[in-house]
Amino acid sequence: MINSSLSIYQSVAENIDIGIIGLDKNQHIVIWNKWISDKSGRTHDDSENKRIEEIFPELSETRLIDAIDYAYRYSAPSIISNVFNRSPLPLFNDNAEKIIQHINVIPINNENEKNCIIQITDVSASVDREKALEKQVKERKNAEKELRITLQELEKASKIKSNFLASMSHEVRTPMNGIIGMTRLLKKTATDNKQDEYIRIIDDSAHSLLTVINDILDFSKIEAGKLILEENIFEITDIIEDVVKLLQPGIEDKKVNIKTIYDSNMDYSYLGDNTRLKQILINLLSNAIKFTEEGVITLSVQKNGNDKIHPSLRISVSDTGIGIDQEKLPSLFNVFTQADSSTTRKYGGTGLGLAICKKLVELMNGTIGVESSPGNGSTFWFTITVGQSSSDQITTKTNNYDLYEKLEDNKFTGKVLLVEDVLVNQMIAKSILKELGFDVVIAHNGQEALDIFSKQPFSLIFMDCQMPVMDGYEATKRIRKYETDKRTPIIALTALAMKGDSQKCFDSGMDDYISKPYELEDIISCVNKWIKN
Amino acid sequence: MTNTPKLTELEIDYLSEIFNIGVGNAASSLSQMVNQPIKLSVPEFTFISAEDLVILLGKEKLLCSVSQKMDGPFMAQSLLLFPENDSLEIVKKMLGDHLSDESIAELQNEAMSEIGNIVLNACIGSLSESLETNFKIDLPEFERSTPKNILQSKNLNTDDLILFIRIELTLSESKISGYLAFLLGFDSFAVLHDNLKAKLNTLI
Amino acid sequence: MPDNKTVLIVDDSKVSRMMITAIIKEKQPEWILLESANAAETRELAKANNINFFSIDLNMPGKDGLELIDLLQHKYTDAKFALLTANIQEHTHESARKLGAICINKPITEKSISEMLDFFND
Repeated sequence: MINSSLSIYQSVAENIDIGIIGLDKNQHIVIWNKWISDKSGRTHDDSENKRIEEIFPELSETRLIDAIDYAYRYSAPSIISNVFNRSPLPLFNDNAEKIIQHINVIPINNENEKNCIIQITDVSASVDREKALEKQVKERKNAEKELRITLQELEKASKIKSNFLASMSHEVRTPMNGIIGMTRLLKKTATDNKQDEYIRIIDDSAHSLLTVINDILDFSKIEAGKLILEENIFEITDIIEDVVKLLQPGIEDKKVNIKTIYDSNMDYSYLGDNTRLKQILINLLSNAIKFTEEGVITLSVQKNGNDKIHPSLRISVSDTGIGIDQEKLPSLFNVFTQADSSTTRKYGGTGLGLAICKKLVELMNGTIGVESSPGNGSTFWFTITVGQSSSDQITTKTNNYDLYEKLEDNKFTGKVLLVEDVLVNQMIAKSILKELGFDVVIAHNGQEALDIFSKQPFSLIFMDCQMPVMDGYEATKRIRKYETDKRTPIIALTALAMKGDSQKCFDSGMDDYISKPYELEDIISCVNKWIKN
Repeated sequence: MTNTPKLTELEIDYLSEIFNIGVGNAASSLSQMVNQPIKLSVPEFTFISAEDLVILLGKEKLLCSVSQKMDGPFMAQSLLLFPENDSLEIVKKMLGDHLSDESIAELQNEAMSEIGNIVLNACIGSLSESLETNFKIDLPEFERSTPKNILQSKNLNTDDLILFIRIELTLSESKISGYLAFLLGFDSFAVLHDNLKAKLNTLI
Repeated sequence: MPDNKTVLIVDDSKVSRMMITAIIKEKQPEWILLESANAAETRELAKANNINFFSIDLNMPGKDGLELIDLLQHKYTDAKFALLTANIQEHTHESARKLGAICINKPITEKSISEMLDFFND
């Protein structure tokens, strides 16, 4: 009976998938199971009655031998994990690879006799898993690192682009301001018709050039993601009327009529970027005018859907002009495409206009499209999403074209401080202000402005932003600090190149801004707003 | 408050020395295992109640604990305790800093068990040697939890005493504080004390 | 040995000092045995007495055993030094060897102290 139970244990020991080495009271091997034989290449008979150090001399002074020592000396069990000890015993699998082991050394006290069992498990598989995990983690970390580097570089590139845009904008707008402003002054000194005509041509050219420049800068801004839409309350009817009035001269020598149609069921007052909307309409309408010799151009505004909180409008510009080839339609809104190069020569334009319209429409959460065929005219349409404006928010709109009348009737009085370092710009602004009836005092930089301001009061201050010695923002901050009860309106004259420029003006204490290059109308509407007469 | 049993200065000295030798041996083994200089010292020890121990270690603090039961002339549970992130740091430093934190966390259980096994075996061995007694020792158990949970799982009684030892592990220029705790039943402490007294008497 | 040597036993543990003293007294009854608990005391005693042999514990607060041996060695070139430690790491042995000292393993037993005495008497 004892024999049969013993043989059960023996069977178990022989067939189990764990290595078992048994040591007697003299630390001699008495159990050496099949697993160990197979993996070590040493049979039971080779190993019986020998000490482990005898069979594996390389193991002396290793953790395993110390652990066996502890088992006998103090009856202390030890675990020898693969974490710190990969392969304490020389054991190999069928592929002749070293087996990664987990070993337990367990003291056994059998009737006051000290024995020891060494139990060895193959943990190569879990180690492989650990390695795979580590590899995954490393790859992820590398990917994250590369992503970070890429993001940093993108940021850098974006900053370079922004700075470029900013300086280009400023560098270009300033001389344009000079040309346009000076042309205006020149006009006043014109003595004969010929000069008048030449000046008119220069003025037209300058404005055309300005349009092109603005197109390019706008497009770059949009591409760089630096264009922000404003939120102003506007009346859609006013915008359409302004645009039509502006482009009216274009149809004077054509047999063309412009009609406007409004949905009877819609509000007229909304919240959105009126300037950009105007820009889109000017573009589409001027195209329609360009390509239509006779007939009708219809501007139609309709409600698009029923959303009250985010109303959508559908606006279309239809003409009876020359029409466009079907195959040219898909690429119309692409950059630098016109119907064909002959149209460019005949009709002019940069080819940026429609691309910009598309971008602006998309910024306003809308779509743009065209229907056309040669000889049957074209309809350009677009949808935009705007904001609701509550009726009590409507302010009286200043129609700039009425200002001229106002100008004749009401001239202004008072002293205006003009802070501007560029001579040309000084001259222009000064002449406009004098025309309006003001006394103009000039300061060349922020510091001068402070000195002058401390000695006399002003009704209004026009402050250029970029100046040497002390810039407009700094000067404004200091003026605000200096002021006690009366607050003098400060209007920024700014190239407004970059996102946040207008906010910067307000943050430093300015009340309003005019963007360069500015026209007479800009100054007039500003003055009207800020001078209580 | 803990009812600190009275040990004479000499008894305290002796007990200190026993643990110093124990951790010193452990340091050798650990050092040999990872081929790095490792130092272990016993700056202080005290007797403390379970409640006070929980307060001392921080109620909500996560600890890694390796424990081994010992049974001989008296019974006790020996524990090696490290705050969790210190435990991770030890394993990381011993493995050589090139593994990611995720991998270290995976291996922590096993690694700490082995480290605990080495330290506790050495300390119990030193006790055995000095007091000339023998203990039956169990395989180490690993636990990661709050001090309260760890002590609860050891089934302490209210009048049980804890021999609480702060140890300092120095490894690759980091000094990490950990703790050894021997949870002794009241009788166990008496037997330990008697053994100490007996041994000292042979010297005086 | 006929000559009366003087041994200074340096260890911060009183019990350790007691144990070492007891064993040496047994084996070399004619020797003079002095004790100190730290580096400062050691230097004082070394100055005031002619010490032949130093038994120094590695693990002491303040200056550890190795540093102390290094210091004393330069001054007392004829003396012999033993470093006692439970910490038998290779680099500890190395350092002791470089200083010409023997490394003795703790715990303190008759065997380990005999080893130390053999070294002293060589």
